[in-house]
Amino acid sequence: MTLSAWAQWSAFIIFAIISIAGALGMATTMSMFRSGIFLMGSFFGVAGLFILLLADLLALLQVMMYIGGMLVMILFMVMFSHDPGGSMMAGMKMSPIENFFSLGIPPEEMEEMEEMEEMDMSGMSMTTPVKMHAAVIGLITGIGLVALLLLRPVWPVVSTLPAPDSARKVGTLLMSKYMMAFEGAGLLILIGIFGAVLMARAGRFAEKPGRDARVAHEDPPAPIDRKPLAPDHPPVGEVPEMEVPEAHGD
Amino acid sequence: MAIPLTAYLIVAAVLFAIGVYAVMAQRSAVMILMGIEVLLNAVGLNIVAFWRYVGPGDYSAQIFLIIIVTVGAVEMGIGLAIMMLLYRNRQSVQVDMFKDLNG
Amino acid sequence: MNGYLLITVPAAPMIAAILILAGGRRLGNAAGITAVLANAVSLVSLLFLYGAFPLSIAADWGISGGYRLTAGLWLDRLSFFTAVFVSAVGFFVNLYAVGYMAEDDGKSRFFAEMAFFTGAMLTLVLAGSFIILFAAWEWVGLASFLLIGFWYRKTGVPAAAKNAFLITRLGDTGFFIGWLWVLGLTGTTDISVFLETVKAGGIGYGILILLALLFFLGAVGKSAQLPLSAWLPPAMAGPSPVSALIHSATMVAAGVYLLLRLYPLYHSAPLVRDIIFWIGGGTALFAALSATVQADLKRVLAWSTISQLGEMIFAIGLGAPLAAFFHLVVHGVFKAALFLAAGAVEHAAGVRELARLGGLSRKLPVAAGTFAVAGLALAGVPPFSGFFSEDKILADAVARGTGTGIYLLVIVFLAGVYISRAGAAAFGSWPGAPAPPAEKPERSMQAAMIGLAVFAAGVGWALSGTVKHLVPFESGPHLELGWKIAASLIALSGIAFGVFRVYRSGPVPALGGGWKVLERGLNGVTRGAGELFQGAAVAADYIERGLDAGALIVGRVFGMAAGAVNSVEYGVDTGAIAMKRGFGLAAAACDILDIGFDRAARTLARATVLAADGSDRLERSGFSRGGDRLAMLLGMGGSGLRRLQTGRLYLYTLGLFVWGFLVVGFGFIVWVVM
Repeated sequence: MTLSAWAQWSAFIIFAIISIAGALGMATTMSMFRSGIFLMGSFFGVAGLFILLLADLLALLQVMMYIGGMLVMILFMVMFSHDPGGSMMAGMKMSPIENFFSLGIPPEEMEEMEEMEEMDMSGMSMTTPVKMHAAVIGLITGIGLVALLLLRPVWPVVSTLPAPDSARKVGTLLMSKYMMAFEGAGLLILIGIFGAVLMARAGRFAEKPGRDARVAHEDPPAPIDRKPLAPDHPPVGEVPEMEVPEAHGD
Repeated sequence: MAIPLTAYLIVAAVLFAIGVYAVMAQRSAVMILMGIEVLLNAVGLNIVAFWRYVGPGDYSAQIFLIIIVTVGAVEMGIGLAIMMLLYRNRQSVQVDMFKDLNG
Repeated sequence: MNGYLLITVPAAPMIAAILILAGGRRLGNAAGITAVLANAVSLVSLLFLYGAFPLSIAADWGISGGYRLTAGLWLDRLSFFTAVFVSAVGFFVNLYAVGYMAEDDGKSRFFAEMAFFTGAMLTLVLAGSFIILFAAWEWVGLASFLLIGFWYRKTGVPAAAKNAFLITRLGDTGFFIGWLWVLGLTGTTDISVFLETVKAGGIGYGILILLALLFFLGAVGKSAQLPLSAWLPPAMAGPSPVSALIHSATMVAAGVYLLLRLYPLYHSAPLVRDIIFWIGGGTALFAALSATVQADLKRVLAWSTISQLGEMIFAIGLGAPLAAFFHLVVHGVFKAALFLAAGAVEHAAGVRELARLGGLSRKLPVAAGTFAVAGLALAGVPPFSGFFSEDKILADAVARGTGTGIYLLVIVFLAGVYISRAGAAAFGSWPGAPAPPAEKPERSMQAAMIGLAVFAAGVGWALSGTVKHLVPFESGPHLELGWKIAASLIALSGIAFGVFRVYRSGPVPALGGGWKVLERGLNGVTRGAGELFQGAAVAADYIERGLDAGALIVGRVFGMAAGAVNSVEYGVDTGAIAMKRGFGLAAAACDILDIGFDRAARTLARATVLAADGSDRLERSGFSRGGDRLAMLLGMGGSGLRRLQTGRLYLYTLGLFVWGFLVVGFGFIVWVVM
């Protein structure tokens, strides 16, 4: 790469910030769809880092497979099974930071609602009850790894540049030496497709209760338990006015 | 070669930490899967950084990453199919609702 | 360029099959026209390839160990002319079928299957490698199954199709073993390499004979010879174009073609040729006799096909491949014409039984003319084509012995009888004929029938002089004029006899109904062959069970030996007891001494009991309580640990990462310390 050092550094910093910010946003925002979009941003950042590392084939693969494949799957799943943070949040007034970042702190209006209707709002949160532990562990892991990196003795870095036609070399290697892995991955994909399609079919015995996809029906789904930590859950009160997502039929 | 290897590794480490947090703290199964994706990304970044700086002659690292990505995609597909079934049966994919394996 | 043309020949019908299948029901008549066009394309490509032999396209399919698996097509004079014959007959039959299937709903399925069959048959003929040959062999069987069972809702039809497939499968095992053995011997699946090796004498005599027998088994299955002939008559349940194409001209000829293709093998194995001779001749005679008693028009033709195939195999057994090939081509043409005419009769009048037909010659003149021409060709009346081909077979038969010649003449007589009986009963106005109403057949059916009739009339005369240049076999001996005249006269008398019988007594079995038992007998032979195979499999199973039981018995023997040793030991023990009693008397004397010791011992015992008591109490209080408490602790620990199983995923992932973190931390500490 013949870019100057400054250009490299600035590109690196930009892409690194994009990836980390995207990941952070994914982990903390309250709207599911937005976290999907944040994830996409993170993928782009990592793809940029791959390009900086002269692995252009992998950058393309990253974009195509992660964003073009997995992210689309995730977004479909999000839209299928959740309120994607649209209708519930739209009516609430939140400060711009909360609107953008949605740390999971219920906005003030929510607190009012909670007092008025004595609803347990913790069910609306996006996080499990071990959030604090998780944050602590995450932080310790991050700091620990970074510390390990900085204290580690020098890696045996070589200064040769990779060949410019890495894609061809990768392809040759894939077809000759790693043919078994290639075929095995293909077989795995095939089995995965079989399994996924088989599982996600509409049930054959549609008349049995619980077997058909009730989202296709008019009546609302069964009330969701709102007391997450109780060992046995007594029946709960009203479900708040959540819009059930439209029937994404069979 | 202006950027030291350690810089990439630090970015990967931070991504890994965020992924760990997301896997543990998120409530919805789909979000947990997203966290796993971030973890895979971090590992991939690690591998490629090492490939570039330590052994750019041997392209096995890229193949490894390709396989990782493929397996991640398959796992994601099956995971989402399972979630689809879960949602059909329970109308929810929050992981703290499923306590049937209690005791 | 030639290579592409060669690949087009079998590929065009296959592509047509896929296109028709993709088009589905909407195609209507276009399906049939596509099939006809595909045949025409194959024929034209072949004509362009004339003179370009020997041409061979091969590719290595896989090389593993010492074996080279090839896949390829081989065009030499034999395959060229056979392929021309196949695609020409296919062209006419498909043209006929356009009219025949005009009102049938499933016609696109039909034409897709016909095109698939044509492609498979052409692949079989042009195959240069055993793999391709065997694959095409099986495809042809599959296509035959699909086509026989075309009207699968009628009773008896699925069973007939299944029967056809399975019985030919029996023969295919022989073929399969045969070519696998060839692969093991020569290390490659190329047919030409195998033939060269055989010609150069590179294979031992015993192995040659076995290979020849195995391949002959495949031919027996496909060409419906004894003992595997029972599938062909019921296969007439399929539509008439199917019977015309598959079960008279091409698929059943595949068996004969295989023998012709591998003729150098049979040339070097005279013993097998003798077996072939007897089987072919026997089939020809029995089938001809059965044909004279049939009551159904198409069944007459079916048995006639078996008989004529028997004649071809008979010719190969005589060592006359040229005659066999000539008869193959000639028979294919006239038999197809006969089936087309029979199909026209069935299509028009709706019935097939001879007793219910009659007097159709005025209403179906084209069909009647075709039947007449082709029937005369079958009987072997000059100048129609059958005369020339039977002439050649007769020449070789006479060269072997006069008795063989007379045997062949008997078959010729019978051929005349059965075909004229069928023709007269169907078309002639014999007394008592019900004369059913008949509508005229379609234009395309008529055109095809006329075309094939012309060929049936002329091809024999046209090819008789030149056939030896067409195929790489030497021509046989020349037949004397006396025999030729005898053959013609006998054919004519057979015809006359048949017609006479029909006009006097109606379509009764021409030579007496007694020969009906032959049919049952032949079916029984086929069943017997199937049961033989099954018996062999069951016998193998029994042998295995016997070996298992043998192992069990050996185990039991060892057990019994151990028991015997046990009883010996018991005997020794009893002896010891007896000895002890003997000594007891002596010991009684010492008893008195014992009493003193007894008292001391008793005191000791009491002390021990007291000690035991005490320790027991201790145990119950301390140890058992301790044990109980330990159990309770474990139980509480268990239920405490049970609380770990919360069933909540996030706690599990938390635990996972915490544990991982601890391990890594521990490792880090260890690394720092070291």
